[in-house]
Amino acid sequence: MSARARSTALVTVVAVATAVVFVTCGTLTDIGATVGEATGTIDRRQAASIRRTGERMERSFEDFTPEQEYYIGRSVAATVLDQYPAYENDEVNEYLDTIGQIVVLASDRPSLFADYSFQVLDDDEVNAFATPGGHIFLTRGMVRLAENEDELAAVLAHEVAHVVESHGLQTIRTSRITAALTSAAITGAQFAAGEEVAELTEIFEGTIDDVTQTLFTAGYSRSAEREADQGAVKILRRAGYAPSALASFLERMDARWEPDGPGLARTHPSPSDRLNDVRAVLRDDDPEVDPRRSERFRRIMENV
Amino acid sequence: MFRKAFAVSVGLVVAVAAAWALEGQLVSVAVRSAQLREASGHLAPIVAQLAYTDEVEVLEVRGDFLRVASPAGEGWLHRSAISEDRIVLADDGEDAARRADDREVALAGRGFNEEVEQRYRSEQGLSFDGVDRMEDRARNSDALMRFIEDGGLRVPGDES
Repeated sequence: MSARARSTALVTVVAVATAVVFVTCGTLTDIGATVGEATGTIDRRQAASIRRTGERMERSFEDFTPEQEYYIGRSVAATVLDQYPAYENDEVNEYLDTIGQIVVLASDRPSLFADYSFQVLDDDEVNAFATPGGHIFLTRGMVRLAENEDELAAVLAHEVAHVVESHGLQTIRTSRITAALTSAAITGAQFAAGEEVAELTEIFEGTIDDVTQTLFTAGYSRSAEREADQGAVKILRRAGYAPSALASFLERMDARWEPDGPGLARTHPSPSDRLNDVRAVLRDDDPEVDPRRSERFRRIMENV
Repeated sequence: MFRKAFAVSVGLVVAVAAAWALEGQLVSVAVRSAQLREASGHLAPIVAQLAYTDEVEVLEVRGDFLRVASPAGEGWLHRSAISEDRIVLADDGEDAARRADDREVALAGRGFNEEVEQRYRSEQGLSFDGVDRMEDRARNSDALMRFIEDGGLRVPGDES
């Protein structure tokens, strides 16, 4: 072995040892870059680039800016409205929007990039959807199932809680999030050229598919549904709505539940499964259903 | 009993530490437009408007509301309207690549944006008219106040 080869081997051993020391605070990529840099097989700039790539591997839904959440939300909302027509009734939509605003102010995340927005869908199926951008939809079938304003608020609060907890974003594949957040359209020194936008749009399409597939067919996880129910109870209590309205609504849903039916049955655990968890967090001193609210509900919902 | 008291004091320490950590910090407005309000409440009178990426200094933390200083003036904001990680406008300099790799800095206008939406929209043949309509629905804060009062409801965190 020549003197040069020996010294290279020695440097390598020292570098590997150093890397092992740092193993608790670094990643494998970090170690590779450190070793490469120390042995002179790569230069400092290349090592920095490898470390950056390593960091890129760790991107998650939390790294989306609120602005990007909004654009994901808008396209998911457009897909919902492509499948279900909007219910054109200003009075009902405005009523839902007003209850929605109160529910939002009582949530842990009242501010999104753009305001939350609410829309009734013209469909008899019992269903509701929320996008990562705060677009909330309730079908006419769902609205009809509610017997008072507090129950309507309960359904809205459950959907708002899905947004607050970023459940929609969590259904996007990690590989897609990483690809989106490290694409040349973001990291390039200049604003993106046509080719880069085309590549990013392809990732965007996959992202929208991930979220809409969850909304229409796969459903959120059971634990996400439980979290949304618990979040809804908290919201209702803070706003002065009766948290028990979520339980009464679930009871009614349970009575009509067809496990193999369309809509919610496909994407949600059975209401009876959810009821026990909801009842467990209700309190004796919770606000109750107020007849003044029920009265305006009856007046506005009469013809829905 | 002791356990509960311990948990409460730990909670208090964490809350105080979190508030202390934010005070004096420069943070970015994380929403398209934010209203600076006279008091720490959602419905307090508006004193100024802030825009996405505006930088503000946190002067005081009260519950979920922050008193901040901005070039537009001082006022209160809900903490969900700001980001502790800086959000900066993407300038077309060589800085962009470095910034994009800095996980504590986000670039506004990059990534999934209006341009990507336009392209997606034309490729899919999707209409966004309904989305625009629901986003643009007119709102009136006086009517909201009346609705809350008439229905015996409340807006949490509101001292106004």
